[in-house]
Amino acid sequence: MLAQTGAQAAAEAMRQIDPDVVPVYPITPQTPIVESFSKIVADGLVNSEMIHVESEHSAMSAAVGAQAAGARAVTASSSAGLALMFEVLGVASGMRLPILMNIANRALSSPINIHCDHSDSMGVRDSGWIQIYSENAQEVYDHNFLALKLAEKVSLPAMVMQDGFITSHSLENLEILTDEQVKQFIGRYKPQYPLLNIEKPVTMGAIQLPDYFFETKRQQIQAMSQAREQYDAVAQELSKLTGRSYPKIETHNLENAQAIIVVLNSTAGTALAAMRKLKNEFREKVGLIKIRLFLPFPQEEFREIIKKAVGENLKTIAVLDRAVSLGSDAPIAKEIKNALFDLSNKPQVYSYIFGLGGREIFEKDIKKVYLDLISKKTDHQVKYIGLRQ
Amino acid sequence: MFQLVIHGRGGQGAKTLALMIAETAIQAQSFAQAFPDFGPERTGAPIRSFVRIDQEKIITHEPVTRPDVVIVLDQSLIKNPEVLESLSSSKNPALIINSPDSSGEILKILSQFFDFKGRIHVVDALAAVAEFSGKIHPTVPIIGKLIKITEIISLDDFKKTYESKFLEKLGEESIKQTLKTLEDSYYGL
Repeated sequence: MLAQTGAQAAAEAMRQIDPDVVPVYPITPQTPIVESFSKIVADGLVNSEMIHVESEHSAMSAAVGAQAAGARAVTASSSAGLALMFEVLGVASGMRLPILMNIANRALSSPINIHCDHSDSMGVRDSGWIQIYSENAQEVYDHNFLALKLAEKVSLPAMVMQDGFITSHSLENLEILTDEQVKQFIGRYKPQYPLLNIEKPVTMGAIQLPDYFFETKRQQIQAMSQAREQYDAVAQELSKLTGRSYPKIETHNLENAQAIIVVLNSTAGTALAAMRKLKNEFREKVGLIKIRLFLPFPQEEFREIIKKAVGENLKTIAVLDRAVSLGSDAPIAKEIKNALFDLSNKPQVYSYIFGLGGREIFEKDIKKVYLDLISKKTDHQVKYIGLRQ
Repeated sequence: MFQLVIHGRGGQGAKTLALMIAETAIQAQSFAQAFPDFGPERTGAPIRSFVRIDQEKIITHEPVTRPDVVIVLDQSLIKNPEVLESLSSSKNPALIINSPDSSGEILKILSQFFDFKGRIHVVDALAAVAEFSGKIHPTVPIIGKLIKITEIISLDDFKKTYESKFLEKLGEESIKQTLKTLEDSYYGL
């Protein structure tokens, strides 16, 4: 058993992946990921070419170039760094390059803030990247392999999220696979159209005018559907190695639940701990859903889970978002309302916002949400957890 | 679940200490978490670090609010609101404080704010390491005391963690002295 932080866990997974190219630009709280990986490179433990670029725009551009050439490229970022990559994120997904990126979630300016919320990764959710969220260091490590393999299967880039500081800087237990197991699981990267193949020259990233652009986008949409379909097979294969499971949507205690909370990343653990500490009479009535695969969003699975739960007892769902979509519903709440729209017998969906800019979230806050749901002390106004009113 | 809060000033080793305690527990097949007060590093500013140790997987990620033990590395922090908050939690935590004063004097200060019911363990860490002219870190006698009163990790395991982390940096002679200071503190010599 190792003792590692979430950031070190990401770097350890990257060591075992041994990517060909790692272009990076450090930004808090992602810094310890690239710092740890730099040491791994300096110690000669990988063959990776690390490129120290001058900005995140360049980091993603270099990753695009490397991956297009036929290399495996991995990078990492946070907050403003991810925002600066925005233009190139779409280039990566549009060119169908399965780049892997670790994200230590952090708030976006302004006001400037280095702490955790999900505005960065939620802010790029239309960029065509697969998004997988991690509760702890172990999931960060496991999800790196899962994301890489799925990305390469469907030729789409993927990002693996962990909560900045809360996960990235916390030391926890970590079980790792052997280097050989990882090598076998991820296999060799076989690019379909590498630029460096002089036998079969291709042009990549060329201009497409109204005559073809639409069709190319349609192919991306299909690739996202494929990612949704192929996820389970990849997850099960990884599960065989680790003994841990990676359902797209993880459910706890839904059998008799009248009220459930939906949340992702580290707060899913805090919520589960809070749920387990409720008095028996309440605990029997509540459940928890943790979303692992956020994009492509597993709508049908979610609908089926809720349909079954409604058939039993489910009345209310509280969706906890650590990001806002100014002028609209919060990102996860919106997905869930969307997924449930076609259900004839729908539970009430309530939106809660918490933890913006690193505002701490406690088990007592989660307990209060459960008690409010059970005692029906809530309404359709958006609620703010831990906010000074 | 055992929970610990360490209060110190940036640069005094509160974060490293937390990491080493958790690492020792994990090496001994327990589950543990260690995390610092997050944010920009500021030397001299009050900071906290947190440790959890359990025999079962730890799933919560909230900050520690009800510690079993509170360590204060710098006596000038005793009136700090965060220190008072840690000490006044309903669990009546034990306090280990680095100070040349007696526990009675510490209690007198705390009594100005609230009725502290936990045990007070005073360690005069600076005096304990003074003769080694900066070669032994003042947190060493503190950790000896923590292990003594909680046995949450074993002295031998911690010695191994310390040695593996600092042997290269400090050299054999300093490590030997450090481990002796640790033992002296543990055995109350």
